[in-house]
Amino acid sequence: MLAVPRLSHAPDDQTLFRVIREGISGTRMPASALTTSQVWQVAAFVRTLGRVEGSKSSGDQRRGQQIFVGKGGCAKCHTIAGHGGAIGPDLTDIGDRREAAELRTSLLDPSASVPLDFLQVRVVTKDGHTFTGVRINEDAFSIQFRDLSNQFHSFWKNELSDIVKEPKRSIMPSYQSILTAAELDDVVAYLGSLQGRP
Amino acid sequence: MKGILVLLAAGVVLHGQVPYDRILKAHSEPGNWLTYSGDYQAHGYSALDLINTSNVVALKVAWMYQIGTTHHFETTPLVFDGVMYITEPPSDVTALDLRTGRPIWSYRRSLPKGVIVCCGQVNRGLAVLDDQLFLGTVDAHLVALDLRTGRVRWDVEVADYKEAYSITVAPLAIKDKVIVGIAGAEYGIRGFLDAYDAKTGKRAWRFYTVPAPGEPGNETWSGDSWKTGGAPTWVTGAFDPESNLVYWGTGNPSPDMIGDDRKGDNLYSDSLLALDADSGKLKWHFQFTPHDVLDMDANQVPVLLDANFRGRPRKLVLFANRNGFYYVLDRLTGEFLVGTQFAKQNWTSGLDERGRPKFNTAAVPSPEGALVYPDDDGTANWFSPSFDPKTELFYQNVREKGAIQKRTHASYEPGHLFMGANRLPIPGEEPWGALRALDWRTGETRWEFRVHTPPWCGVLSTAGGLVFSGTMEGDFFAVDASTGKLLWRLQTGGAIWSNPISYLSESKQYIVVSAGTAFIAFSVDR
Repeated sequence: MLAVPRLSHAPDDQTLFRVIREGISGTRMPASALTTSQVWQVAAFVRTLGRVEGSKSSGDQRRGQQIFVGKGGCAKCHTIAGHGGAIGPDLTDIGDRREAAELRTSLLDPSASVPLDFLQVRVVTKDGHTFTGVRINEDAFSIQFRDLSNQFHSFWKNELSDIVKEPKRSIMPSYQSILTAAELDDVVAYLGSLQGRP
Repeated sequence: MKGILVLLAAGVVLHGQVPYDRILKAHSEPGNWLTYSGDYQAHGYSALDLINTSNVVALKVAWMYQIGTTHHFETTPLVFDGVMYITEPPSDVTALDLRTGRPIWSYRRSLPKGVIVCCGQVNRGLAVLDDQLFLGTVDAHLVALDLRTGRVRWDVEVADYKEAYSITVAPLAIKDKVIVGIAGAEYGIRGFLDAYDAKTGKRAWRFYTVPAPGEPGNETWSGDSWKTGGAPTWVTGAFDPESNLVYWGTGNPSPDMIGDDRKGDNLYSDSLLALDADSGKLKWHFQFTPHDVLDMDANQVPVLLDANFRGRPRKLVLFANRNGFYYVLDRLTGEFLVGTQFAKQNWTSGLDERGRPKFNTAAVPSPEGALVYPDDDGTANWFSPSFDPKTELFYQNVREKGAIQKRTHASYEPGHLFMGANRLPIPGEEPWGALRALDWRTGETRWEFRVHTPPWCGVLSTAGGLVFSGTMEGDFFAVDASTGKLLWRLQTGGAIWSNPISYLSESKQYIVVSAGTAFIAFSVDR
């Protein structure tokens, strides 16, 4: 996936150039036959993928951070710089990937755009227990997911009587009635400031 | 461990924490594998016996996991609380669900171009402490990952990869610290062993394995040769909680294979070090191969043993060395007790009463080429031995391979090879290998199981009376721990470059090993 602000094999432009030209040793990515200027053009294009212009919000970043870990309870599900939950996306560099308006929409209407890799599932075991969480993996015979308390579950499908997938439903609540308008501004400002590890 | 119950509801995995006390008592939970060698004593032994000499014939593949790179897959996993944690080359980590073998999370490291590693961009494993995993990377960083998510807690530079410092070793977590070694002695690094605060990543101590002027041992280096003296620390050591000593082997002096410009014994290269775990201060050292010009790294796993020896209880360390000798030392003092040849060698006519070798001056690299046994990959290497307390045998894979060593020259340039010999095959001679069972008290071979070519696989012995190992041709096999008789084998289709381990999941015992690009779990149906 190239539409991310940071590429795992190419943290800087020089490295990205070499990756395109020489491929990645030990993987299936081959070297290219492009000219030097063509490689630079491809590199420049790849660099534009997944990035947004700096987010802007009138809110207070510091207060936003306090709400994120306190009243909002966001850290229970989201990680920043290695700390937090794993139910939702890692927000360490969310300010690099989402504009302020998108962040605000996600806070007010989380179900409007649920990433496929955070699909909500509900399973019922043959002995009648129900578990809900965010899917991690699924194959023909098994399913794994993480529940709201970050607990990992793994089931063979023959242990289950029902599996319900809810692609348009987010486990995240709407913050419309949880936060004030000013508090929303603060959280958006804080999220917009997250540009990755210092 | 018949009768062990898994007290979990089906499907629910309890992500636990692994405090120091739990690692200290690893023997009380034989269904898990909490450190690189299974315990601080580094026995590489499993007390599980559900798979045993009676039913191993029915061993079959339970699941496989495939990696996406073609580098050597040298991982030794950690297993606890329903999850397995493996490293993937070059410096990645994946958590696997024990029930299904499916990945739970992955950490994919962003590596700079130009990482320099002599012998493959590999990684051998992880350490765990509390709620964090610790990974050393080939660009010479130490990284702490959240156990539940694989997300980065902290990431610190251990050394500069552009000068060919790299990390391939599995760290060892002790108390509140993470011990990690370094590689790069083919490039003139100055070796060290480091400890980092597990919570913050701040360096707690560093022991340089090549002493600076004014420090004891610097007199064993001529001129400024200590500055590029090598002595790396790229295989995980052991820990004795009672004496609070960390035992860690060191590798070759630099320049490798040529010693003209580093006259002297070149301490602490090719040695076993005993360091205080809190301060990193040296308690004692034992140098196996002084002034090495044959690449006789002592980067092997030291095995700690408390036993009656020559009429009295002693605290010992057992060490099967790359130089072809098996050693027993007193681990409180470093006193040499046993040194027995366990593979073909011609570089020494034997050891004196203090364990110092008497060198054969004909078996050193020369312009016309010298015949040397073993070659510079050694008889033992990084792959782990295993000690079985029931048979009292020390199991070691052995490489029977010599070489014609032709002397060249070496000049230091940061980040470039700093070696003074080329290896050529011996005409008409086919190298081979063997899994050998050594009497731990004497080092004498009790039995051997021959394999076609010199192996790069570690050894696992189990309470089921079995010893597991593998070959470069892809055979994974089990032999009777008492006799060496072959009881089971499977052709995996990929060379085996790793240490097998064993664990328990839902009351079933599993054996796991990597082969080629596959990670394979084996079990027997009940």
